[in-house]
Amino acid sequence: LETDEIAATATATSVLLIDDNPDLQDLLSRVLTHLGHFTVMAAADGASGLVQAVTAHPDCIVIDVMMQGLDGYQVVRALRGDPETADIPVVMLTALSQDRFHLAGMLSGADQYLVKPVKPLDLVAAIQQAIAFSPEERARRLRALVADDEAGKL
Amino acid sequence: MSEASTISQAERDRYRAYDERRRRSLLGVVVPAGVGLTGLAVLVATVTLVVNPRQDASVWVNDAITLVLAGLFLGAGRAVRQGRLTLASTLVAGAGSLGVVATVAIAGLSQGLTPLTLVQVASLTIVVVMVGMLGNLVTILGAAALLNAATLILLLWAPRPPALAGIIQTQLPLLVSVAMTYQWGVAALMVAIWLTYRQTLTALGAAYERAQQLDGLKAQFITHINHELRTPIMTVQGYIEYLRLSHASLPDRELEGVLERASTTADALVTLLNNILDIRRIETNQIGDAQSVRLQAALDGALALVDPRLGGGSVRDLRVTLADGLAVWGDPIAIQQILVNLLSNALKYSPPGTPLEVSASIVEEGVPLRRRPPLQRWRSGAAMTRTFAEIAVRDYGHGIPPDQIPLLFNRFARLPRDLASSVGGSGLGLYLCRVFAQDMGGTIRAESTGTEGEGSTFRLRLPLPPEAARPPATVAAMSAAREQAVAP
Repeated sequence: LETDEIAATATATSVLLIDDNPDLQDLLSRVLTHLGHFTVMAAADGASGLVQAVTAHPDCIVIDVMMQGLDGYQVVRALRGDPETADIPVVMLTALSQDRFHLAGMLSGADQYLVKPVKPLDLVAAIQQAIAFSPEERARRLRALVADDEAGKL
Repeated sequence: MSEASTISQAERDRYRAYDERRRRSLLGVVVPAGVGLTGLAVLVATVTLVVNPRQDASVWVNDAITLVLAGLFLGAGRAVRQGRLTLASTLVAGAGSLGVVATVAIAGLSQGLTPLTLVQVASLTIVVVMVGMLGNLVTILGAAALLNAATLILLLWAPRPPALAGIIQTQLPLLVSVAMTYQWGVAALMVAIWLTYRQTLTALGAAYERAQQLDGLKAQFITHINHELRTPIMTVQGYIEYLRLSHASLPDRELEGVLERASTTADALVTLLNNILDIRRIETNQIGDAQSVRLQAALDGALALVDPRLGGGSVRDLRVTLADGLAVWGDPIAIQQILVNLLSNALKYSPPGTPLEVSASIVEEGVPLRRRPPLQRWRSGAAMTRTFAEIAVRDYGHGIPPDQIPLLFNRFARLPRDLASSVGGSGLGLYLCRVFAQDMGGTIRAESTGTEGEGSTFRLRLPLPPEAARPPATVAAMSAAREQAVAP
């Protein structure tokens, strides 16, 4: 994907970034603003991220998993449980690389699960892909995942 | 202040679990054997009574007791199957005791003190052994006392056959004392076995518990280091990629800011790697040669290396109490590294604005008797001591829960509190401190009440340079001696 292509498709899309690492937050804010042309909001922990999600209703949320206080799974489950925020696309960005964490992330309701390190443009693409899912498609994906999990295929 | 690791509740529980397993397998042998033997006895008695019903009263009593014993063993078997081990042990011990009482009763009722009765009494000591294996201190002593009483009753009041009456009468004190000594000897042996067994099991349990804890810590560490590495790598890689894609459009100041951030993240990554590499270094024994190291110089060097951004990056009040010229004997790089680690931890785990204290004193440590040269062990008078410099680094932060202190200096150790938080760390710093200190002939330990605000104190003891290691009267005299030794 070239940067100007992204610019053409993503203007005025808002992204909420929830991550407790200040360096990574600085980088991602720059990347999403300048390369993704998103409007970026940031929160340093799960609880304030949840508050911002409800008040600002962003077009997409990028969230870390291992954080002090509320972790990423808890935040996503809370988002999915509230009709106001249930449809916001969520991209999980985490250092937890084992499959079981991946599954836990998807089952908690994330649309994308990315394991660090992720290149800037790959993150931008993942956000756009998450936004492109319709609510019906997301629900269908989650149902299929739960069915597979219960059938022991995962 | 707590430092020593005592036996924890978990270790005690583990001991109980082991003991239960042992008792279960023991009962698995004793109970079927009891059921088999008493069953056989019941069978023989029944056949005898069927063949010749006109028996002596004592035979009837004997058969009735055998029947009860068989019942007790069957009950014990059922209790074992239900997992009620205490009930099973009690039933087996009850069967043993009934055996003792029955022997006394039958001997008293019928044959009296025949040689056969004396042999029977001697063989009854097996009850103490059996109870010792199944029960505890109280049951062993109880069984021995019961056996004593039974023996005494037999020897003093059982009818004596006329042919033996004279001999028994003259030998009575000897008979009584030999029987008592023998029975209490076996009881003492069982108590000793029980005690040492319990000690061994507790120690093994403690070691197992600790090994498991370390294993858990290691797994946690690997997950943690994975997390710690992936994030800075992504950040560095991300900044580079970001610069590659957008350097042309960025203003100079912005460009500089991005480069600055990328560089600090890369530095943090290097520190993490260095800690891991340091472990390799000490594993291959590459610690430098010992020399005289001035503490003030080592501390100045360490302070220059401590990352000023740690602990909120605020200015801290550092109170240093060091005697002029105080020196220790060791590798200057290792000493400096220990100080860097201790100071970084003190900064990291205490809130911004709280003071830090570094002080040093001369301490004398008694040399344990077994470590002294053989001749000196027996000399009376002057206690043997060694002189150390003790450097204390104190903070007024979160403190460390006392039960977690023993694990602090292990490799990969991180407190559960830190793993759950964003406080960075590899779990290697204090491990390195301990190994470095020990390699230089010193020690390191931590003291904390675990109370927020009282903080913790880390005490590093290092040997004094050889020329200064005479027992000094005071720190002042000590440092004066050092000055003279160094002056040309």
